[in-house]
Amino acid sequence: MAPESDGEPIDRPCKVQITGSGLLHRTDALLERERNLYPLMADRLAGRGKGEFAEPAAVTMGMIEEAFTARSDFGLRAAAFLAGRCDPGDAKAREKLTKLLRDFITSLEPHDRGPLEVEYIEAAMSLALRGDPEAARAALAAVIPEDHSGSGYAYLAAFYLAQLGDASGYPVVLRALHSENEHTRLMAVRHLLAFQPYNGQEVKGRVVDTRRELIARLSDHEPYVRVEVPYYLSEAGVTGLVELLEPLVLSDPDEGVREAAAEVLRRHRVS
Amino acid sequence: MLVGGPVSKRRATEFDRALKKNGGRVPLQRVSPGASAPSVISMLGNAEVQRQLREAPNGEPSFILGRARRGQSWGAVARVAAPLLRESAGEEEPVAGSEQEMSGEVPAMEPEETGPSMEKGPCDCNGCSPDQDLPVAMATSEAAEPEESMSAAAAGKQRGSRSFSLEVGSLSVNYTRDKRNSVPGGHSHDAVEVGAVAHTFTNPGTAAVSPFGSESFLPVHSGAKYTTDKGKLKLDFTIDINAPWGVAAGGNTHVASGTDPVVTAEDHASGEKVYKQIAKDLTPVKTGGSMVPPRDFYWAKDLTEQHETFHSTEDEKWAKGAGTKVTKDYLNGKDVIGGTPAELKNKLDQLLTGGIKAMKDANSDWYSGGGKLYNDRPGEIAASAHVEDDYKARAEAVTKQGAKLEAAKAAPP
Repeated sequence: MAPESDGEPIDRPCKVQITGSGLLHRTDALLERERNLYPLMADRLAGRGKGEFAEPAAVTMGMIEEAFTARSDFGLRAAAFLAGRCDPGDAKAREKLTKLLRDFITSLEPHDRGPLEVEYIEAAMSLALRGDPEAARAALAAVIPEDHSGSGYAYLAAFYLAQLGDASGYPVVLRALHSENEHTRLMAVRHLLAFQPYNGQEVKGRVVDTRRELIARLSDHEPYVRVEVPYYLSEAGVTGLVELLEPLVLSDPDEGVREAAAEVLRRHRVS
Repeated sequence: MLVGGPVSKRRATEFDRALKKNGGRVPLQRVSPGASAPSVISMLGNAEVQRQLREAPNGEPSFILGRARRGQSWGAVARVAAPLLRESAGEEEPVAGSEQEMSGEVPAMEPEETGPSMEKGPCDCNGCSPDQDLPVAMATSEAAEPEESMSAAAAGKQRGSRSFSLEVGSLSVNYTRDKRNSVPGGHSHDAVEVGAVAHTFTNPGTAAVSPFGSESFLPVHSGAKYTTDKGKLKLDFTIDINAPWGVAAGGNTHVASGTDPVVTAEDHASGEKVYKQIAKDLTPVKTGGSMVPPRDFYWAKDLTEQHETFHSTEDEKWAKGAGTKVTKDYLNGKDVIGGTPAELKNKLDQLLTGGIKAMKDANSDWYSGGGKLYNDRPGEIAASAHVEDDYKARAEAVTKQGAKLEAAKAAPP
């Protein structure tokens, strides 16, 4: 095997490794999400479209490094996500991943990441998972606007900060839940999960109540948002699931929402 | 004192040259406390401000820029930043009006003509950003004479030029650029406001893919046009939605209908009759939230094409609705700093590319279902539901045909 130098790509398999990484607020539900996201990100890094494949694309160090080097339009986000959730097998390669993440983060302005905001946030969380949560916390905190305006991917930074034990981004998610943009509202609903461990705590004058916020989105005026809420209510294990979803099954004006609610109830009853 | 006066084009060119020689950098110390923080950041560029603050030995760029972002005047921000910057540069406390403070990094400008004073008034150009406090920056300079300070802007107005003013304490540099090289309308920077967004759509079914099929979302932008008015840069453009898809057999045999010649009553390697195996392969089975045909040996190419086409048309709908909103949200309010037409075009192209990237990212997020298994993703549930009945009908037709063939086989000759 050829010797590997610092400057050469280390093209070895990077095997999926999704753990709590010693971060107490990374709940089982969050880890499950990441396990489900991993193949999508692997496919994305490999340049695959939306489709079902017999096997998710294999991730290698070379692919990750190439994406960071090229700053490719689509692959970089996947690389930034995967770099914290795969294990290349030896210490040198692990160091290389950490360096890739650190170099990428420091190459961007903390307060203005331009079009690479989501990549910056993913890289910061991956850095935490690779053992530097303090650097990650500082990088992610820079994304949270002082006025909690919740623009761009601030909700994602808040989501990851919460996993690092810092719920200070909760007001950003609350703001995003009431955005005029239905996509932003949907993203905010999805990312409430990380705040579940903080339920009942007060964050910047707001008491965290993920159940209440999820239920409120059942009445969102866009089916684009409502259609996913039943799943998240179930994922969060909220009490009174049947009572909450049966009315949707019976009377939601959108067929997709009715079916989504029915599917969640079906699984709930089976389990 | 060569402060605050208007400048000739020759001197402006010299200033340009000096900036280039200096790597395009203007020392942060030279920014007027009177300028608003956002306009300073817009003029120098966030990266440059960050860099200079970072290089200050005790600098806290995040803290300082955080203050700037919260809308404090640059003066307030500069009070925190200045000592650090001076320390970094090894400079003494500045003395108002001191010639000693003048730096050779940027050329001083020669007065050309004078004009009336203005504290903070309406911009003379065709609209200005509220953040654009250049005249104030000049008027509040400790050493600059207000009358002279305003003359650059006034002269710019008369000549159809535009002025930049960067100063601190007694130092200032005024830069007037010919309007012909500026944003039409004469702004130094404008906030983007998305106007009309048109769409085109194409979904070629020719992509080379892994079995059984996949679809991609590859939008681009085109036809961008802009107009400026009152500090706004109205941007009209087209989103060209390209959603290519493809299908692949993966070694499976296509079954076009119940009467396809491959439908026989012979024995299959699986141990089933061929027609029974086909019917089994094409009958959707509940898999996660989706109804998915197993397709172990046989597949229906046309129905797979329908599935992938459905993804592409869903992407079209999404792009025209939620996706366009994402792009608009990304672009609206972004500052565009004027320059030559080529520079402006480049800047707008970068912004639009960023807006399209935001849309692609959002599309991927939407599709992922936030970390759901493949068959639980809303997009897959919908696409499989779209062809579920057709699969069932095909499987039933095959079963019917197979039964007919078996009956014929069993019948005496």
